[in-house]
Amino acid sequence: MITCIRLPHFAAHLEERAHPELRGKAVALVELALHPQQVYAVSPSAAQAGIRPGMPLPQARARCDNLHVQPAVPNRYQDAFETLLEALTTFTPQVEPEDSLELRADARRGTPAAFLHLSQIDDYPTPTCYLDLGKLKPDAVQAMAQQIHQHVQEQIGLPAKVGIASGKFTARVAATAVNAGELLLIPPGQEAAFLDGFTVALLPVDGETLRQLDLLGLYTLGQLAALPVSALLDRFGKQGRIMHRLAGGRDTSPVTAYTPPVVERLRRQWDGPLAEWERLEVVLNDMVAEAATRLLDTGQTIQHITLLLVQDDGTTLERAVVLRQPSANVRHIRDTVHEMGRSLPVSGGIVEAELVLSDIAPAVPKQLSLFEREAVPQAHLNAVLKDLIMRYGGEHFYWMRAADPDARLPERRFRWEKAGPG
Amino acid sequence: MTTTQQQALASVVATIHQRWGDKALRRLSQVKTDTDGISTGDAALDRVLGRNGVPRGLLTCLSGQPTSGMTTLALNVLTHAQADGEVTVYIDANRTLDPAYASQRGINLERLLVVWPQPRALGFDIARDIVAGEGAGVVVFDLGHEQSAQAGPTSGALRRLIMTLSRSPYAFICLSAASDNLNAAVAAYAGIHLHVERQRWLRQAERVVGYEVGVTALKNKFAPPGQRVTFTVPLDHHGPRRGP
Repeated sequence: MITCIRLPHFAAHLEERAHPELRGKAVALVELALHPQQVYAVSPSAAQAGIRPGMPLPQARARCDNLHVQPAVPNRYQDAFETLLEALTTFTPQVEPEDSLELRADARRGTPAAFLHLSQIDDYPTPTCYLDLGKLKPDAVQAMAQQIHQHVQEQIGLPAKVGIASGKFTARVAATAVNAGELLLIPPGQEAAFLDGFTVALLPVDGETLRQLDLLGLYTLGQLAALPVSALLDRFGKQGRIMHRLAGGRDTSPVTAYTPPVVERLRRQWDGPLAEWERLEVVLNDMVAEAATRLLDTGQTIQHITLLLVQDDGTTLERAVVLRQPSANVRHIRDTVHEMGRSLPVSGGIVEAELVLSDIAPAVPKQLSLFEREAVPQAHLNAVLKDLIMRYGGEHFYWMRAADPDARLPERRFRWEKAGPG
Repeated sequence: MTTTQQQALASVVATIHQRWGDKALRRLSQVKTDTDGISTGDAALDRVLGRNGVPRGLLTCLSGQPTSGMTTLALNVLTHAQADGEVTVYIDANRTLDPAYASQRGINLERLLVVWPQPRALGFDIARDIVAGEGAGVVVFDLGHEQSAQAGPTSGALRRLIMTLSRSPYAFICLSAASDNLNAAVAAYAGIHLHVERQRWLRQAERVVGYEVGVTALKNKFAPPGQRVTFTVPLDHHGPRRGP
């Protein structure tokens, strides 16, 4: 049996815990360094006022007069979620996070891929994870899920939404359907009956497929499951077969074991606020030197750097950078950290600095060329593409694919496919 | 230069060679400058460019009005680069690249990476990362047309790109509308600036079968500027034909 745990308004809740004066208020979190005019996450009160993640900040302010804007610290939310995942591994090693901490409000509209990651169908990014509890009887599963539910509440103080079913998709729909703090068990054999009345918009398919389903008059999962699979195969190809299985509650995708990421974390706190950039640079240099020494001792390199600065008014500023090449070079990392620090909109004294180095991997020796460089064709582009996607995100890179060269409509002859390395 | 001075210079050069290797120092006359560019598919235009085509390690700017033949010319260069097994990238700021037309011009779609940068200036940073690595090929950046764009913020990204490009075996082609605000900035950094204009439509009976394109070299570091060539672009055949 699979248990799905969803944590609505996770980021806003963590901010409310850190700043109790925000409790009950309409709060919009904003990434000051990257997207200062875009809402990153919202509190339940702000959501009730119609504010959504991804919305421009002026539009959000227009919808809610007393909106409180708070700087977002995605790194801290990620840490809290990973801590929770580690705690859940005490129940079962099969714990799989759904990558939903990124802003994905408009993912369905902007993604040309036919099948999406489950997290991309959410309008509100919600941290979600799955636990495989094995072949227990429903009563035993419910008792264990109750324990897990309590454990989550004790760990983060946030009422979770829990769904239990034989497959991931059904468990997810169950967790979506219940209120925060509630638990819903779908007994084996009753998945199709449970899913019958839910909208097809819960399927992880792109906007175009949903539009076609709408035009065909297929509004609920029950209507989809009632069709012969051959009809969906003819109309949608392989995607039709998957939709039919999901709509009928037959999701056999496994829950993969969770592997916690390895990160190098350094934190410095001091009593009085530091107002001079030169003094802060000295502290950052010290942190970088310490981290680089550890990396060199273990023969490791890093590619992802996150810098967090806490100001004397309690606000936290964050900036993350993905290096073009993995590096353990002190000077390279130090210069990058300095640039990141200068790019942050610091408005007061700094009382705490935190440096997080991730994407840690063993250093790979590289044979340098002694002679003229020769052309390394497509393999090189694939290697570069991987780095580009890490730095800029996958939404900028596409391949053109010939879909149906004989189609009568020109737009059906080719399709755009999101580029991935390999 | 006196014999004593020549001996002193030779001694310094020998010391540097001994310590840092033969490639550390060389006379300008020994620097290889006859590297071939990437063919445009038109022999006359290749001669005008002075490097048997679009040169590597340099920015080539094509400017002109929409439907003047700039994209066709750039696609021809990409086709020849693909034939040589090189990397090809098309940065499409306004998302106007037509796969059907690219395929008609002989582009292997499976090997052309298309980048849709948002905002437009991000394209220069992405291009810099591509040309900074190993390998060789062509990067085409279609700047599109954006009347409100400011050249100021882009200038820095452009300067960084040029510095990286100068050490790279990549050819970089910028397509910009003549009326675009960024056009002047790109042209200033370009080693070659070509003005492309459609001269006339070619008709058979009432049907348009192609058009004649005139290309004028406004700036050229490898050959005398001011030269002009024409070629025709057939709308239903592969590859351009030489003009009348």
